[in-house]
Amino acid sequence: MADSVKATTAGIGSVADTVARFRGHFLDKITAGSFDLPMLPEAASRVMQAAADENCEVRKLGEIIQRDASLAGHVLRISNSALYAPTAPIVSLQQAVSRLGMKKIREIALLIATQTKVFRVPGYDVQVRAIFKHSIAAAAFAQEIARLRRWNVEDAFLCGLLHDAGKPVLWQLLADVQRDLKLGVESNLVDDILDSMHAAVGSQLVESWKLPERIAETIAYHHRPQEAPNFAQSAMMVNLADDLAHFAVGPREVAEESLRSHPMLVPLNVYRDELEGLLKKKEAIATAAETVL
Amino acid sequence: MSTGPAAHGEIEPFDVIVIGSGPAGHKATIQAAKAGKTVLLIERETHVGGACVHRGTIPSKTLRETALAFTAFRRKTGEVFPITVREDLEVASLMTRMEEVVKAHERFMTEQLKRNGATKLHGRASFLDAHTIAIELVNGSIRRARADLIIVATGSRPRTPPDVPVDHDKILDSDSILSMTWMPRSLTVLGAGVIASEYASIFAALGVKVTMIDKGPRPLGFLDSEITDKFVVAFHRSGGKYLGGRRHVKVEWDGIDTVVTTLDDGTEVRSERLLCCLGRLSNVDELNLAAAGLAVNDRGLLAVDAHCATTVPHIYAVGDVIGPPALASSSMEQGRRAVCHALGLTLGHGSETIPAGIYSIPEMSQVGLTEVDAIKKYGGCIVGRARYEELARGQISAIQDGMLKLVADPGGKRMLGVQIVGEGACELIHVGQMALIADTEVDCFVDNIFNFPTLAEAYRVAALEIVKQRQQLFPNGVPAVMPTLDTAPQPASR
Repeated sequence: MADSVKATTAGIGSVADTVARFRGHFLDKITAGSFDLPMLPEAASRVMQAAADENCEVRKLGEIIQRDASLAGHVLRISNSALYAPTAPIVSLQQAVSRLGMKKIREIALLIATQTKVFRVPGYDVQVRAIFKHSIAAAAFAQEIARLRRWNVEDAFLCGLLHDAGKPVLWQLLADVQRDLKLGVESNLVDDILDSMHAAVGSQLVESWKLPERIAETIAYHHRPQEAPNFAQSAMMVNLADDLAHFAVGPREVAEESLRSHPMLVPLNVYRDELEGLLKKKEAIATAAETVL
Repeated sequence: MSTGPAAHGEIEPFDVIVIGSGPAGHKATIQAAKAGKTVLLIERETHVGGACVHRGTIPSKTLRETALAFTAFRRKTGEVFPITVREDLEVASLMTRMEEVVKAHERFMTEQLKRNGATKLHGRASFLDAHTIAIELVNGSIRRARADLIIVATGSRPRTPPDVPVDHDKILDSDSILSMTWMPRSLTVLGAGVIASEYASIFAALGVKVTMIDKGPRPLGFLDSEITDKFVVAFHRSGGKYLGGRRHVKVEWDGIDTVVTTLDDGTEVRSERLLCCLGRLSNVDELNLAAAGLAVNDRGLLAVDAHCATTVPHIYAVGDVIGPPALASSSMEQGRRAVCHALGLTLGHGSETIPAGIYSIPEMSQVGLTEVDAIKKYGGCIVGRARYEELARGQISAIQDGMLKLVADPGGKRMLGVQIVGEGACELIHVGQMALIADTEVDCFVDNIFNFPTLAEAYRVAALEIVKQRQQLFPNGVPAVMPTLDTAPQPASR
């Protein structure tokens, strides 16, 4: 971190001192878990509109929630909170809707729209939007893989939707720390921090929402699935869905050919024709992800 | 398969190739290997065992065990402990033992294969010609193997009618039902066969509001109706509902939280989840049967003779792929027998009295002829019944809905069949099965002593009832030649 952090304001002290302060401040926030998933301003206004409109079809509100990682996450967080005190943890959006009823979901949606921190980090808007789009595509692909293997489709969707939830959190956090300490962080360092920490942060986030361990572990290990202690299968599924989503909507470029020799195909027992079936869904999934944002 | 890359390398020679590692294929492999043959076993899934181990039989029985323990605890403790299944329970938490059970079974099967020197290959098989098989591996490469004897044991999968939009999420089939994460409050089950009845009663016992829908007036049409009536009573008592004589005309997810099933009489059944159990299909699509000179019959099954040989003499088919009875037990025996027949090995005298076991709550099982079958075949029969509540063991264990039915010939001497409903039915049936195979007289159960208190005593109670009726019908002894169909004594009324 040393060379990349530079003091932007004179009189702050030595570089090493600054780095130490930055690291301390950043790690404090991480360990305290005092972070939350920010929401895109347009998502906030969309849900606000839908939830406030008494005539809005419940189905539509459900769809809006389903398709936004931040909204989905917050609905689950609030459903599991003392406010609604479920008899057992709510583990899926479907279950939240079934158990709380659409009236309460509408309340929750309004609560989220009014109280959640709206994502405002100048310079990162494009990346953040790309990640939200990517997450929807990953959720759709994970769902398709789960269907193929007859694994739980709801869980797969949620794991796909939330697998990169750590990224917007870290962006926001980095921006906050920089602002607090009046520091600037170079973009390659931001990338490094995101790459190395987003899985762990995302996992910690969903854990704080009381989502099941298997979802937290899947997110924590989605870049090194074979090391997952208990839910390797789920982590492998999200790993493949992640790359399929990059292939379909980016932001990283993934060549179609490289997916044909994806290391997860054999452990997931996905045969050639089954993979081709998944690849064929590219357009439909890309279009669906596009229309959300 | 035809779209895959071209095969490379030599054609590997084997004495025997077995396609599919479920109960039928596994036993066929072991039998052939024990006979000193080189055997290649091809399995498309990562692990051996087939649907039996991974998708149905064993996992569902593990869930059932939990449901059973739960209901038995309530009943046997006289309901003094107010226990209920917590709402929104995670399904996985009820099956914590499942993974262990499945792994143990699979490990045992794999070790047995290794010990017997069989070669296992993970891939999808298809015929290139009557003796040669292409195997597509998951990585897309192709291998080829050849054998003088080929056993097809590819099993079956759930059938999805075009008007049931199975998404494995809200609308599930028997392959995906156990992947549910949270316990639904309500479940609609389409169908009333073995799988449907098992799941319907298991989920009902766990507190789910289950509605079973089928065209038949009662579930499991092939079972004795007195037995299934008991099952329906128990199912209703646990909160389930059986809607017979109806079929679905529309199944739809409402987009919010309900699956709406509309029936042909206009009834609308609403539930959180739906399980579609409307039959199974043979797994033959990927086999390229035509290349081997084989075809399926009009029911989509591979037709075989009494020895499980297909129309191509060196190709045998065993297990679900050939259709009923499609039980793990009979499939294993078919696998073993097919290999013995093909290799000219001596076969013991196999009996045709195969018991059927239904692991519903309560359990049901039958062997031999039912009352209806016996009347058809012999013009009449004498039936003895024992209700569990009449037995000390039944009383002690507080078992409800238990009954054993013994069917004897019109003379009341020869045993023709046994049907049981209630706890332990699938184990208890074997006493009757052995008696049938040994052609024991009904009196054997009266003259001999069983442990007390046990459920097996039911045999004695039912046999006594037959003997009593026999003495009333034939006070001067059973005539050597029984009356003909027209003059036969009427069977005891129910």
